[in-house]
Amino acid sequence: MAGGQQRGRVHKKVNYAKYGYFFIAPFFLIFLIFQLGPLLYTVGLSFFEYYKHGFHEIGPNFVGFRNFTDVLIDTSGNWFQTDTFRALGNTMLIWLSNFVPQILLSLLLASWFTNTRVKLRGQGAYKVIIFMPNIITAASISVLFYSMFNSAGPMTVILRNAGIIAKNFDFMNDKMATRAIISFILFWMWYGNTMIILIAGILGIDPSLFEAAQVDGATGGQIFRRITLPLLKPIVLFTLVTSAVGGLQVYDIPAVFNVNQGGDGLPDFASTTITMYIKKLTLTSSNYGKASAASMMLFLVTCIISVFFFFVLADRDKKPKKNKKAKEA
Amino acid sequence: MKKKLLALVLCLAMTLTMMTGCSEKGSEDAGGDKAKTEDTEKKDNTDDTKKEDAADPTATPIPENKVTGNVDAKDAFVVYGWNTDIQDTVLKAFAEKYPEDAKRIVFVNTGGSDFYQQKIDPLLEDPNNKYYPDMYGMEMDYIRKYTDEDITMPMKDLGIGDEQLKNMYQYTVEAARNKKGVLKGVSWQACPGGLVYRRSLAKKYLGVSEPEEVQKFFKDWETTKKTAQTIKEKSSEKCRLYCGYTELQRPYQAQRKDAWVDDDSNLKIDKTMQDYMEVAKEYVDNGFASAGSADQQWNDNWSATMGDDNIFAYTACTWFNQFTLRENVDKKTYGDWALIQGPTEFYWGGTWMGVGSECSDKKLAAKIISVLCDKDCMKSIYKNKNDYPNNKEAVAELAQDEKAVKDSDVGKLFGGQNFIKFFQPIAEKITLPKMCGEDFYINNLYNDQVAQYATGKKDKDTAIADFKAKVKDQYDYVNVE
Repeated sequence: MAGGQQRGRVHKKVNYAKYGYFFIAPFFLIFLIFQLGPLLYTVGLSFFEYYKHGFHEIGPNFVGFRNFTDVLIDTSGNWFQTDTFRALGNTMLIWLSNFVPQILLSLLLASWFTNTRVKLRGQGAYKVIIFMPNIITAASISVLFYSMFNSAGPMTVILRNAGIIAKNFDFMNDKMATRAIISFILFWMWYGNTMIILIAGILGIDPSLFEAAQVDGATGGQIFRRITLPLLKPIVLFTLVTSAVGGLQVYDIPAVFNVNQGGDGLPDFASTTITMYIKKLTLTSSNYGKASAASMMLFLVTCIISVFFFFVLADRDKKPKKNKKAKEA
Repeated sequence: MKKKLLALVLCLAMTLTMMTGCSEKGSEDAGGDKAKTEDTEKKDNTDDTKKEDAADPTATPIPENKVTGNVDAKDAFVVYGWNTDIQDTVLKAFAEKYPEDAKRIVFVNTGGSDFYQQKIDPLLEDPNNKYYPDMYGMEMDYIRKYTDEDITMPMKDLGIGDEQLKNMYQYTVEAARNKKGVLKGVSWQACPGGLVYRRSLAKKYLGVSEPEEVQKFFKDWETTKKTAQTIKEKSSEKCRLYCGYTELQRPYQAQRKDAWVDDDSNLKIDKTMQDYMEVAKEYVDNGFASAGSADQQWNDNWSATMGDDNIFAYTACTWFNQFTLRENVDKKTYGDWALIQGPTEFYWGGTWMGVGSECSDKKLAAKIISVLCDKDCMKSIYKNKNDYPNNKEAVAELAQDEKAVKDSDVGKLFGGQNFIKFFQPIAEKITLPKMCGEDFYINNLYNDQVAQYATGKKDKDTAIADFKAKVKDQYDYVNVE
């Protein structure tokens, strides 16, 4: 036990620690009722046949892993060729193609803004401008980009007249083009946010390290590679994991960008993300069992990706020993 | 100080761009109220909050996704629709006849077909909800889903029988009967289809402009293709027959022998639907119609093309003329439009009013339905909106009055053509269309694949196979063989 016996008066100590529990209780109550409960319910539902045919509820009947085989294996027996995994693939593609350039640009900007030699003027204004797209409602950005890039939109017309794209090229009928625009919107919305986090991370590094390196004659590039990046690792890991979790659940932008009245991501399913697909299974098909199984797939993939990041990027250093509390003499 | 100024300027700039970025057609928000501009998001339907507005249900214009009337009143009677059409026709005619009862009506406009079903389905299973749909509109594409179920009240429980229905077009009555033959809906409109074209363009490219003459150029599908070629050549590819290939869908779909899903839950891809796929590609390849995403039906750009000189014709029908064409055309082109039958007789859509089985006030529901069976009320629907009423007697009387039709708004649009008289024989001939409750969503899946085929990204077999897989994925109980 820490702390020696106090000499002097012995009186009954009031235990204030228990009040802490009262303060955190509301969160846990709400979490249990509104998050953990539904979560476990979803896990349970994925083992049941439970859907509606019109307004007739069928089920819930226990069917074991049938929902899982439905979302994993297609009718001709190929693994991972189902719409669930197509939607997951779309999501990963959209996320990766926005995240890679996003982290690179954010790193570049963050290192510029924090560089003591450059001393950029008007930093505040730049930061505000760069962060601004993040404030606008996602849906309205989506609508805006759709009206710019659809087959009669101004951007499309300009690019056609400039000869950059073919005369009959239609962004909305091209799988890759549609995904690319969605990726660009995400990139443009979030690189400011990532940049702010990285700036905070860089400012948290002990400045004497930079000064020492400069005194030793290190170039800017060397300082960035040898000092900034290694020490930024935890922050980069944080942005990676949060972005991956958010990116896998991306819904609002693709859901209003290029969809038909049934809510399918056009063209030919290419912009349907996994959350849009789960929503469709739930609300359009009313197939709750399959929707739960698809949600479990999303959960698994998110887990795998997060764990992967932790193992690849986590510090390999030995864990710092617990400081034994110094005994009072 | 400088920084504060800068931040202020930037904020202002952003608010301004936001307002210009998502200003809705016809309801420009001039107020500098940021919260307000965020609320009027055109496509942002994730917001489920309902704003109460104790306005007169006949007031115009009604923004989308809005509740008119007081839902908390004890005797509130909730009516659902996906746009303002029901409000402008049925409820308006009802308010004229029963002004006292009309005050009780709460109209919920969900603002779009795309999620209308998802909105009312859970509510229909929840009779204690104050938003329980006492009455709701059902479109042709999914009426079966509601009539085949117990959640919709049979009309005979409201005292509506053959006597009240005698003036209705037979197909509208048959369409609202379910598998067992029980009538569960009543429509105020009959929806024979046609083709609207621009007289001046017809004069320019075909040399004739009167409907009887132009119809010869569109008497069947083969001739239509030749005409489309003529228009293309004469206008040196500036003008095309249709805006997008989806204009072809409804005329073809109305000829179906099978709905998408038959009574034993088998997927049927009718030959006419396959023909539609082929024809769509042909039209796109020859430049008679565009494959561009923005040129397809119900896209904003499609509405914007109505009245420019690059599009010769649109697939039309009774409600299309008053609800879509009239709302979108350039005022300059009034009188330059005309109506012909086109290559085939067909019907297009239509809306039926259904009553929830747990309806809070049967008497009021019966009153509203009785308005739809009433000749004078149907005439007033025509007067208010120039819609084509589902009442043979009323139509006969309206068609007689040549002058009134010529002077009506849609009449002026068609340069004085008697459109009521034009639709009369077609409406008589409509036979009961084939349909199923899943039509709406399956049409969407099918059109997605038609787009792939028409733009040459897939061959037909792949497109059909992918379509089947998508249907199976969406409706697990459907056999796709």
